[in-house]
Amino acid sequence: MRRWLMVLAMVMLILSTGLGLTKGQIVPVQRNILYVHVPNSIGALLCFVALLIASVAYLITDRPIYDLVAAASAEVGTVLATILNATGMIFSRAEWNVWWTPSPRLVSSALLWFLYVVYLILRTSLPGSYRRRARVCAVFGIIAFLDVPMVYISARFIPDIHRPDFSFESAWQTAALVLSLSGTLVLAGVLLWLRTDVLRRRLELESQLHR
Amino acid sequence: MFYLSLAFGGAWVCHLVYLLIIDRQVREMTRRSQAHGESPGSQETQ
Repeated sequence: MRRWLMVLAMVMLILSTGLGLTKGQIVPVQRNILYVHVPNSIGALLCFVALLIASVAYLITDRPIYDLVAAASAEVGTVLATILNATGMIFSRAEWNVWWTPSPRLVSSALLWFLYVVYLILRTSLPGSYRRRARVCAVFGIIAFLDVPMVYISARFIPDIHRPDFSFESAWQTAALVLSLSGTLVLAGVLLWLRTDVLRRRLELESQLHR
Repeated sequence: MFYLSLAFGGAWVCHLVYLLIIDRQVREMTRRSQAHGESPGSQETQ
């Protein structure tokens, strides 16, 4: 099942790249970066929403599976946020001739990436029992999530070089973006599933060894 | 075109590297589970 979903995601991503660079091409050419930048940013934000829900669920129920889902969401979200920031910088260089500019959305996106890197470092470096570490990380995950709405609203309510939205000229361009978004979300979902499974089995093995 | 290739190539490399890392972890967990005599029903990975 997961293998087929992975293949489906890859096919969708390859098709969207082909479509985006041929029939759905945007002029000037560097603006086609949005076919990879936008899906990864939406994927990253959804991973962080999953992290928030899992963290709250863990604090309420104390069930380890929610902590594992939170950890996997943070990892996958950080990978997608890395792509979001990297492609954003490449676009900025191509479009505005600067790698970085202190605009509200760029700063809040970079801050988001740092917060989740700190979350991942906390998970591996906090001393104490599993339960204590999981609870501290859940609280940190909830606090870190406060930056996610900032990323979304920053370009809408504060004057910013980053455009808050975009419109397409042809249906091919919309199709390429929808295909790319679907492929990225399926890929992120499968990665989340696999990583949660790995963490769950590792926890089971460790508890067997300590028995 | 250079920047476009850099963005698409970088994103694909990131996805594939992370995918390979998780694939290795799944194989490693399967191997360890088998070594500890886990029941066959819980060894399904993909």
